[in-house]
Amino acid sequence: MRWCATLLFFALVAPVLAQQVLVQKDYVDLRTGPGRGYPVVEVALKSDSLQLLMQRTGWVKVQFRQHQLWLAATDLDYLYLPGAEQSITALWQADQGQRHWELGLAAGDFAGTSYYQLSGSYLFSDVIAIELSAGQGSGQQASSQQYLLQLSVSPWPHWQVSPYVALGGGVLLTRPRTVLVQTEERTSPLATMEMGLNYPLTERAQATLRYRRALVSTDRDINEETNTWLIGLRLAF
Amino acid sequence: MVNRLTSGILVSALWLLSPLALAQQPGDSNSRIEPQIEQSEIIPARLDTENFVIALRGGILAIEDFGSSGLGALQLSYHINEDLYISAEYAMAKAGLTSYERLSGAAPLLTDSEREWLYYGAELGYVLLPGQVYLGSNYAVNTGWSLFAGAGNVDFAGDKVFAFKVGSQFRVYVTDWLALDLVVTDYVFETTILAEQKTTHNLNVALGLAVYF
Repeated sequence: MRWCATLLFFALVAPVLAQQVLVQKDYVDLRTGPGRGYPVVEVALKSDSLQLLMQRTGWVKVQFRQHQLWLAATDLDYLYLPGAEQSITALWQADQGQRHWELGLAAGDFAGTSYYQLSGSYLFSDVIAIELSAGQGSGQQASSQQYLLQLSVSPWPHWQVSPYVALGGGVLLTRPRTVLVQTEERTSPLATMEMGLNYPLTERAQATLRYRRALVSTDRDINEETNTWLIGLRLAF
Repeated sequence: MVNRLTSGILVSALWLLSPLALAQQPGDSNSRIEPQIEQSEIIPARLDTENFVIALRGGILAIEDFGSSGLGALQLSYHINEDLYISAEYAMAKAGLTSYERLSGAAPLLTDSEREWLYYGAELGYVLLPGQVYLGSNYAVNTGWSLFAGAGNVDFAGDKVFAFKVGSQFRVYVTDWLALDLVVTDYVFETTILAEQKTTHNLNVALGLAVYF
C-alpha cells in the first residue's frame, strides 16, 4: 500500500520536477518529430514556459501546454531557467565532464583480404587509452580472426585532426578455406604497431583512419609481417 | 568602601582594555558586517538521452539455390545524429532443399546443421526521407525511410564467408519510443557449395518492432 502511494506520488510529482524553462527569443519552432524533416506544428513565443523531457540526437522533447513536441538542441541557447543569467547550453557546458569509454567500428583491408573490427576503449585521460578489439577477415584462401589489446597515445588531443600511435599484441586465428577437406585452425601470436588519425564529426563521434603493421610469429622459421588499413567510427560514452 | 573599590577596579579595567576594544574596530565606524554567502547557480540535470534502438524482425529469406525460408533478426542501433545511425545485426535462418536434391532423390548435399544460415555484421544507415503519413483525416504518424549498407559474415554450409548487405527500411513511429519496421535487404556473398564459385544474392523481406531507449 505504501509502495503504491510512493509510486503515485512520483507519478504526480515527476512531471513537476522536470526542467521548467523560459523562452528568451522571439519564438522557437516545435516539431512533431526529432528531425528537420518533420513539420513545425507550433511555436513557443518569448517568455513562454516549456518543460524539457528528454533528448534524442540533436533534438529535445518538450512539454508545451498539452502537447509533447520536439525542438532543436541548438535552441537550448535561448532557453533559460527562471531567474538564471546563463542559458541551458551555457550551464551544461560548464558542467561537462570527460567521457571515458569509446566504442569503435572499422572496416578495410588486412593483408589483401576484407577485414572489419569492433573495438572498445577506456580513456585514462584524453592522451592515453587502452583498446581491446576483435576483427574478422575473409579472403579467397582463408578466413581469419584477430583479438588485440593495444595501448595508444595521442599527443595532441585538441588538434582538429589528431594523430595517435599504439602498441600492442594479441592472437591471430587462421582457417584456410577449402571445399571438401576440413582443415585445422592455426593460432599465432602477433605484435602490433598502429598509427592513425582521429577527426571529430559530432560532439561524441569521431572518424578514424588507421594503419597497423603486425608481426606474426609462425611455426615456420620466418616471421610474417602484415599490413592493415582501416577506416571507421568511434563513439564516446 | 568596598563598593567604591570595586567600581574603581572596574573603571581602571575598562580604561586598560579600551585600547584593545578600539583596536578591533576598523577605522570606519559606520561599516556593517556583510554576510559572505556565495550565490550558487543551479545547474539543471542533464536530459535523459534515447539514442539506442533495439529491433526484432521476422520475415522471409530467399537463399539462392536453397528456396525460401523464415528469418529472425536482432539488431542494435545507435543514432549518431538525426540522419545517420550504425547498427550491429545478428540474423538466422535455415535453408531448405535445392531443386537438385528434390528432383534427383540423391543423398542431401548438406547435413542438417550445415543448413543453418547465420549472418552477423554491422552497417551504416542514412535516414533519407523523414516525414509523416496520414491515417484518415484525424491521425498523422511520424515515419522515416532509410537506406543502409554494411558488411559482415555469413556462416553457411560449413563455410564462413564475407558478406555485403544493402537495403532499405521504412519505420513508422507508433509513439516516440516504439516503431514498426518494414525492411528489405539483400545479403550478397560468394559461395562454392555447388562446385563452382559464384556470387549469390539473398533477398529478405521482414517486419519488425523497434524500441528506443
